[in-house]
Amino acid sequence: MLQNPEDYSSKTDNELVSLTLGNQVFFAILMNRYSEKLARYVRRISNLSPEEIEDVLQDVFIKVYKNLNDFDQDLKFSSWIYRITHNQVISHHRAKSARPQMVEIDEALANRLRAEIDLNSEMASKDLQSKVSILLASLKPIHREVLVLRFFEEKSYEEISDILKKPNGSVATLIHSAKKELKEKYGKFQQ
Amino acid sequence: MENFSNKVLEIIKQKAIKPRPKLYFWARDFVLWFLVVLSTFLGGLAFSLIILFAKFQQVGLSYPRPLGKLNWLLASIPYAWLIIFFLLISFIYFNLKHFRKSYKYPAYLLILTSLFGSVIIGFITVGFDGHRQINEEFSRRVPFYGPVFDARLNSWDRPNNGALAGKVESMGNSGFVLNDLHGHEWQIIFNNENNSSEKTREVKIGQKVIINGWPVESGVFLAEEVLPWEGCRGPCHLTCPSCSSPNKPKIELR
Repeated sequence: MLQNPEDYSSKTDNELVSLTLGNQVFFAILMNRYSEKLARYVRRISNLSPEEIEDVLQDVFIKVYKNLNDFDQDLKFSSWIYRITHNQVISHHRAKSARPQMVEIDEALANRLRAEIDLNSEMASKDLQSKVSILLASLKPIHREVLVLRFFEEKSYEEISDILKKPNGSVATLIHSAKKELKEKYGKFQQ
Repeated sequence: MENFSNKVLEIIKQKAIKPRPKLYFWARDFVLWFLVVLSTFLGGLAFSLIILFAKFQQVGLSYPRPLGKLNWLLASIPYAWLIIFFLLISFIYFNLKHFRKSYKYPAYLLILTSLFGSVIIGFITVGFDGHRQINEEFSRRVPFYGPVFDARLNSWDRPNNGALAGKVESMGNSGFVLNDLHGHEWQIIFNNENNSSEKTREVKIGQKVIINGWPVESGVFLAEEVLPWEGCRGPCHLTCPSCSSPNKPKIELR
C-alpha cells in the first residue's frame, strides 16, 4: 500500500506507468484514476450489469498491467486504455452474443446529442432521454461506439482514431454515418 | 473504487502476474518486420519471374498465330506466379496492418506500399538478370516446377498454333532435327531470310530453342524465327549459316 497516494495524484499517466514498472503499488493510482470513467464508458456501449462491468474492468486492468511495457509513449495513455477496454467489451459480447437493449445516458447527454443531430427540439426531455437511449442501443455497434466516444466521453477525432485504430478520415465518416442512422431511426421511431 | 483497485492488485499478487518484458514486444515487432521484409523480397522474385515470362511471351505474341493470338496468350500467362505474387502482397498487407501506427493510414495506401516494395525489388532483380538464373535453378531443383510454373512449356508446345520448342538434336543442310518438349522429333526447315544479320548467333547442337513458324506436315516445321529458350537481352535470333535457303512452301491461314 502507498503511504501518501495524494502525493502522486499530480503525476502524469506516463510517469505513473514508469513508476508501476518499478513497483506495482503505483498501479492502484492509475486504476483509481480510470476505473469510474471506464465503467461509465462500458455501461454506455454495452449496458452490462454492474457485476459484468466489474469483470470486464478487472480483465482490462490485468491486461493493461501485463502489457505496460508495450505502451507507446507517443500515444495518450487514456487512448490506450480505452482501446483495451473497447476490445475487451467486444470479446465479452462475442462470448455472450449479447446486444444491449438500452444504453444508459443522462438528460444532459441526451440534450447534447439532440443538439448535435438536430432532433425535434419540441420533444419533452423525459421522453428524449429514454428515446435517445433506446435509439442508441438500436444502432450498429460501431456507430454507437463513435457517438459515445465523441459526444459522451468527449474524445477528439485523433483520440477516437487511436482508440478504434482507424484513420482520422474513417472516424469522420463513421460519425457522419452514425448521426445519419440515428436520425433515420428517430424518424421511424416517431412514426 | 479503492476496493476494486485493491481487489485487482490482490489478483495480480496471487497469480504472480508480471508485466511482459520489453524483449517480448521487441521480438514480436522484429518477427513482424522480418515477415514483411521476407514477403516483400519473395514478392519481388515472383514479380521478376512474371516479367521474365511476359518478356519471353512477347516474342511469341508479335508473331501471327494460325489458331489466334488470344488462344496463345491465354496459354502463356504465368498463372501460378501471379497467384503467388498476389498471395504474398496480401500477406505483406496483413502484416503491415499490425504495425503500431498502420491504422492511421487508409487500406489502399498499405496495399500500394506492399506492391511498391515488391515491384521495386522485382525490377532490380531483372536489372542484373537474376530472374533468369532463379528460373533455371528452380527448373533444376524443384520437382514439377516446369509443368506448374514455367508458362513457356504450355505456350511453346503448340505446333498447330505455330509455336514449337525443344532441343536441337542434329544439324542438316536445310535445317536441324528438334526433339520437342514431349520427346517427339521434328524436322525443322530453317528460313534464314527473315533473320537480320545483326545480333544473330548460330544455333548449336544440344541447345534448347523456341521456334515461331508454321507446321508444314506431320513432323515437319518451317522455322521463321528461332530464339534461345532462356531468352536474352535485346534481339538474339539464331541462324544457321551452313543451311541453304529452301523454297518456302505456301501455307494458307484459316
